[in-house]
Amino acid sequence: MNFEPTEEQRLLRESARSALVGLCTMPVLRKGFDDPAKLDAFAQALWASVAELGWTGLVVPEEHGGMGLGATEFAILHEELGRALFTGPYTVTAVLAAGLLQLAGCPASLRARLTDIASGAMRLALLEVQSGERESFFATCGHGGTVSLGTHRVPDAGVATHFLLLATEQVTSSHAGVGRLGMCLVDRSASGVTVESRESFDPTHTMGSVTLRDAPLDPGHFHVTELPAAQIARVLGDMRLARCSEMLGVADRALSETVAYVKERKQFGQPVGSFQAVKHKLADAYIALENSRTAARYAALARDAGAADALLALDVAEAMTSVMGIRVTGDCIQAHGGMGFTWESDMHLYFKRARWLASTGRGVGHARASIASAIVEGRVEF
Amino acid sequence: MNPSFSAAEEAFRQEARIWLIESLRSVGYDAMSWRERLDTDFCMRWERHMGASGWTGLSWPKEYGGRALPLVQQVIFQEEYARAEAPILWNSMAHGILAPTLMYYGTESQKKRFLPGILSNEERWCQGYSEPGAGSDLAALATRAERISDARGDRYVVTGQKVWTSVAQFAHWCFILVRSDPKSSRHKGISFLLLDMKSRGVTVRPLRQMTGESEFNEVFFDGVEVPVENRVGEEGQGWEIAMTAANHERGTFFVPMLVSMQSELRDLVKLARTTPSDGRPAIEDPLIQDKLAQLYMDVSVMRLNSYRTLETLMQGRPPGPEASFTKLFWSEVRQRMLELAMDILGPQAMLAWTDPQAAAGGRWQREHLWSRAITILAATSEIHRNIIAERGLGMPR
Ligand SMILES: Cc1cc2nc3c(=O)[nH]c(=O)nc-3n(C[C@H](O)[C@H](O)[C@H](O)COP(=O)(O)OP(=O)(O)OC[C@H]3O[C@@H](n4cnc5c(N)ncnc54)[C@H](O)[C@@H]3O)c2cc1C
Repeated sequence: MNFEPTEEQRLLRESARSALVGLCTMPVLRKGFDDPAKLDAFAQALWASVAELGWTGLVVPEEHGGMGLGATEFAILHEELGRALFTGPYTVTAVLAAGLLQLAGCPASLRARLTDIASGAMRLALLEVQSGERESFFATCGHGGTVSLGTHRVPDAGVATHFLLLATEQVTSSHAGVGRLGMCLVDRSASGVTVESRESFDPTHTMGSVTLRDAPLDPGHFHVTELPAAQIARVLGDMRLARCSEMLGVADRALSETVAYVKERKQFGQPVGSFQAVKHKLADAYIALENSRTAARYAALARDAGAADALLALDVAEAMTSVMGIRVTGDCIQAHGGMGFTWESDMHLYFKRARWLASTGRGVGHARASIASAIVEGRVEF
Repeated sequence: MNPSFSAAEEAFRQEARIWLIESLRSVGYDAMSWRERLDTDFCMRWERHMGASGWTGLSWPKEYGGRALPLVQQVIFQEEYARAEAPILWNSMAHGILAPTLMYYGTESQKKRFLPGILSNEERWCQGYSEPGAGSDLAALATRAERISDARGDRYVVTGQKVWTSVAQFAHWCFILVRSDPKSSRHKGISFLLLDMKSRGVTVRPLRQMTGESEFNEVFFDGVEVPVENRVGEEGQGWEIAMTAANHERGTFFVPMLVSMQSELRDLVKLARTTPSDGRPAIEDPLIQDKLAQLYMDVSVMRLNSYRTLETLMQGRPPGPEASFTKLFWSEVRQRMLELAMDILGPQAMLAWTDPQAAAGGRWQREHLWSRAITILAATSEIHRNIIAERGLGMPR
């Protein structure tokens, strides 16, 4: 086990950090806050830049033009994306979709799109098909034709070239059971696809409402299969891991900016950072952050090693990181006083991104319940 | 997934495990109840047995009778020791704090005189730092040491009082901080002495603790003579020595506690499975399940953190505020864990741990009470948060 990054991983982090300092700055992001079209345009330009750096192909195999790296690497990159409040559907495209297209049994016609993911030509936003529409969706993924789906709230819809429609369900109920997975890729400009811009809680992402009415499916771009549930969970888990890592970056930046602020800001003739109530709050934030860092790093290492406890480790990382991110960024607002409540301060941006990240997943309750059932069923080692 | 150890390290683990299993079996440990295992005489005998068998001083250089083992193997031994649920080590302050201090600051004759007794555990030590007026603010200590030089020799005469002194009633020696310069204040003018507990003028008065036991004491010094050759370091260097020693104490000191906490959590899950609540096992209660999930998260991350810290230490990089971080997190999680034990016990928790009918021999009630001490001893949680903020985050003092 290596908590310390390897030399290559350290370089990845450093180059990502310095690239993002130039590519994704607060002033530019802020220009898009009142005009989603501007933010989308910026996200597209940003996408082209990171594609040139090879990031869109980070986990895509080399034969499809990617770098063929693993979870440890995409986790590190996501920490940096979080620090920069990166905007765009990076995680859905470069982690989730890239993982789905590499699953066993994925048809060659779909898998070939990995090349477009790696090159940066394809940007995917996610529509998760909910239970009411799932059965008919699975059928559509089997025979093709056209697809219809009720309105979905889709982050980064305005930046996407395609939509990834995805449904999964458990076929047998036991932990080590079988799962069904249906997916298709729909061109954003296909007939029957409407995208309406919405206002996003996180101003550094845009949000759209997407509806599909008899949208035609391209031949070879749909697929339904049954796989061991663990394999499906692993691919979906990669997106969860990426979100955890992004959360670390968000919290880390918020905390370091807050520490710098409380050293400067004076009240009662002394820096507010010398008051113990402030110190203890930030000391606790630091502990929560470092604990989450350990948990997320381990989840990535376990994932790459194919360890038996990889999914449990991910539940731990997710449950910990979500709570940590919201709490730390909230406490950072508090430590800034009135300044923290202003639009001008960046603190609300970290706070909103943290909440946004926590809300994209299945939620803390789900992860905690999953840990609890592992304990109850005797699947954990002490 | 576990960290990978080299073949040599695994072989060492095997050797340690076998030695522990066989020696514990030879003293009848398996058949002993949890309560019997706490017995002071038994624990002290066991400790001497460890010394005689060469399983102490693992980190010490060979010239002092140690085994000069690398850090990883020391940690492996501590892991195995905790996993075997082997007896409490009463002389741990001598090994954790004093021995490294003597090796660094002591004279050759002090090392010759005192290290063998620690190694064999024939001589037990207590730590005389805290006083009624000096707890968190240790630099306020007032116990005086007056230097006298006459025909009877060069010596200090110690007068004052220490308090909360653990195991003083069983100790042969005390390493003590005293104010050797009466005109000094705060960190200056403090010296580090080795004081024979059999000296005339030493009175030990055990204090009853909230568990009903007496582990710590008041210790009174009334004109106690300490030869100058029993001063460690220079006169007035005591503060620096104590702070350096604290880093030793906080270094790998908590590894065994983390491991024991894993076994404790395992036992807690068992308790939840076997304790009925409303006619069903307590583990079926969703609130208890959720609390177990939280503890599992905390205990796992604590173990992983310790490996992360170990990696830092092994790369020779200076540790950051990890020691404060670990102690603080460990103590607060353990308190929560034992609160949960009491929740699980339900009405059974109403029996005192000393009652013969108490569940599991009273283990959970006693540990629960004891857990209130761990956020106070070895610097309170508040002090550790200060350290993390000031040294970890660089916030103003
Ligand atoms: C079981 C046990 C065993 C012990 N064994 C030993 C031993 O063997 N040898 C030995 O020398 N000592 C020993 N101690 C003493 C221990 O080190 C002290 O109790 C500890 O340092 C706290 O000091 P105090 O008790 O005087 O509390 P105080 O310092 O009076 O603290 C009271 C409260 O005020 C808070 N406080 C104090 N200063 C600050 C600050 N600057 N910022 C914020 N909050 C603050 C504390 O956190 C605490 O909550 C032992 C203690 C216990 C409980």
